[in-house]
Amino acid sequence: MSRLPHGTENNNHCRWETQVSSYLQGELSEEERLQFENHLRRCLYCQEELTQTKELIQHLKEVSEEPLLRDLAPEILKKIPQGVWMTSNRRVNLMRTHIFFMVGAVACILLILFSLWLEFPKNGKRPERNHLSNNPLDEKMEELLLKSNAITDAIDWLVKTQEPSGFWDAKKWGGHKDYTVGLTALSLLALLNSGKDSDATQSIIAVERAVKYLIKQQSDEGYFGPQCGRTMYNHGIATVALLEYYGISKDERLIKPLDRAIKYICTTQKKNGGWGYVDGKENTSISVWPLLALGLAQKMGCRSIQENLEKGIAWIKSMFDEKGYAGYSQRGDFPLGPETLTSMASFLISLYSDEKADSHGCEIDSGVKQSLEQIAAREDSNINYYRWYFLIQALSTCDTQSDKWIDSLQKELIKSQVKKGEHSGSWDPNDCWGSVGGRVYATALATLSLQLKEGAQIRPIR
Amino acid sequence: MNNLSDVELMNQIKKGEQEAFVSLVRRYQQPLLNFFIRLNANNTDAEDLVQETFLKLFNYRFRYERTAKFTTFLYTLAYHSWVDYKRKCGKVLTIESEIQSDEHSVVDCNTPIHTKINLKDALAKLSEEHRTVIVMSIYSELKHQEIAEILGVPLGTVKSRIHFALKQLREILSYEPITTRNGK
Repeated sequence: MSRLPHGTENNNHCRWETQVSSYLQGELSEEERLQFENHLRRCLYCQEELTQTKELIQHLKEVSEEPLLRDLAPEILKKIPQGVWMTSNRRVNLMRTHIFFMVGAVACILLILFSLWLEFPKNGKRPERNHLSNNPLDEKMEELLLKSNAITDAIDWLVKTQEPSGFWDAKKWGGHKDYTVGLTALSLLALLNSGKDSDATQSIIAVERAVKYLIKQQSDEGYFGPQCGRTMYNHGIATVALLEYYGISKDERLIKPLDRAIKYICTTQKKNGGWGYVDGKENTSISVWPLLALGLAQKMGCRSIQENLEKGIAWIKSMFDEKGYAGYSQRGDFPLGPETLTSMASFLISLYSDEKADSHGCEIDSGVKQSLEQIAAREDSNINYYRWYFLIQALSTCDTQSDKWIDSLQKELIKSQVKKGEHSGSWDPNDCWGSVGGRVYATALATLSLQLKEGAQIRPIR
Repeated sequence: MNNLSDVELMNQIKKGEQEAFVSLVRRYQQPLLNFFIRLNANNTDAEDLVQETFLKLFNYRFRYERTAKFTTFLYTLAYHSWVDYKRKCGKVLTIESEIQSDEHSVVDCNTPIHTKINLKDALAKLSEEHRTVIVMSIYSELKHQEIAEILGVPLGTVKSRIHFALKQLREILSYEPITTRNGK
């Protein structure tokens, strides 16, 4: 493009003029400022723009402030429960607790130093270190740090890739477009769980946008997402995510949409208690999400769905065979293996049922244990994001020595996270559902799998 | 408490110190009130919005990280309170309209040229998007990058909006340049 003298394109416009306000407000970098000042020396148009804009800004600042007629602090304090504030008694108790822990920490440090001193050979040579640290505390700290960093990077990726309208584009990231709503809801769940793992401001913005987007996706019939064979996946996950959000925020905007969403779940429950594809039979895979939603709603005080929930849980229990494996649409039906189905079903029952064993007396736990043994036996540990998410959830609620398995699965996830390049922070969609869910599916579920703290991740509403 | 920085006050608030919260409220209630009034809320609504913002601040206190700029955090909450308020007033402000609004949106310039108009009214005549960036950058003195984060738009969009908003204000005000076009 040829340049007119002084960069002016015509008498009414100069391509540098958009820099004027940034220059006046000190928003240009050093290099930009020098370039602009250089241009300014030769451009009458920009000189005039600068003068006029400077005057305008000065006049704008002269607009008087509205005086504050009263102190709003007392009124705001009335709206906050008194119990959250620190009283002098609690302060004293807290100080005592701090002192106690400090003394304990000092004692631990001294003990560690003493142990190291004992271990250090008198001849001055360092002992050969194997690949495992001799100090389990160090190892644990390092693992926690790696996990925390992995979650932070994942959340950053999710925030970065959210569309301005609040959704994550399934097709853009290698998945099927019909799952956009479900994937947005999974990403929202990951953000809601991110807490201190990420930049708060960006997280809050992303959460708000995702919530607004999901609300707008609700149809007149009450389901979220497009009407298609995958409706209940989208709807179930979206309802769970919005219930979780409501539990945190108590945002009244959600009351009506959630009412309608729960109603839709109840009215589409099939006669045996499960849910399925639009014209298909009930199956465990689809039934889990609407049941999770009903369970959450019940914990929030919604009593009208009690019968639906009980019927659904009863149906899920009926899917277990004598060995403790859950079938797909009936007992013993494992089109893609029993591991994922068993993990999902066991997790559900652990959350919303008082019993761990089904009416036939078999132990659900044994099915989960068997799944673990099978996964552990695979040397290459092929990731299955969907299965591993539910497996980790189920392991945390089962009465097994589950920590080592959870750690092992999480370590594999951390190892496989993309560390460099444009996809840094995400996971490659290289499992059996990768072509359906794409990178957002892989990343959201991997993040949720790492975020597990104590107990079930989908927790009772506070 | 009054000598503590915003970050230090937030840390105290996280620990349950009521005095720290009160200090923060008193530090920012006036700027926030003016923020909402300049966005075009009336006095009563502006006070309600200030209260709502601080309640949100309290509810989200554990999500604030000391590495993040406090004003960005506070004005993000304020802006979201404003968006919710506009929605309740029936003036739907969708995400799409926030992000994709036409930079050259027509300003209601019913006032004939050369008729004097005060600055407050001139601000009110700007479109929502343009008024918001002017209020944030000139009155709240937020950096362009902060504004971009709060509104969830690219930095370039913020700069463009400020540029066009100032141009439109000059048109509305029928701004008489102090110099002629031919020089000083």
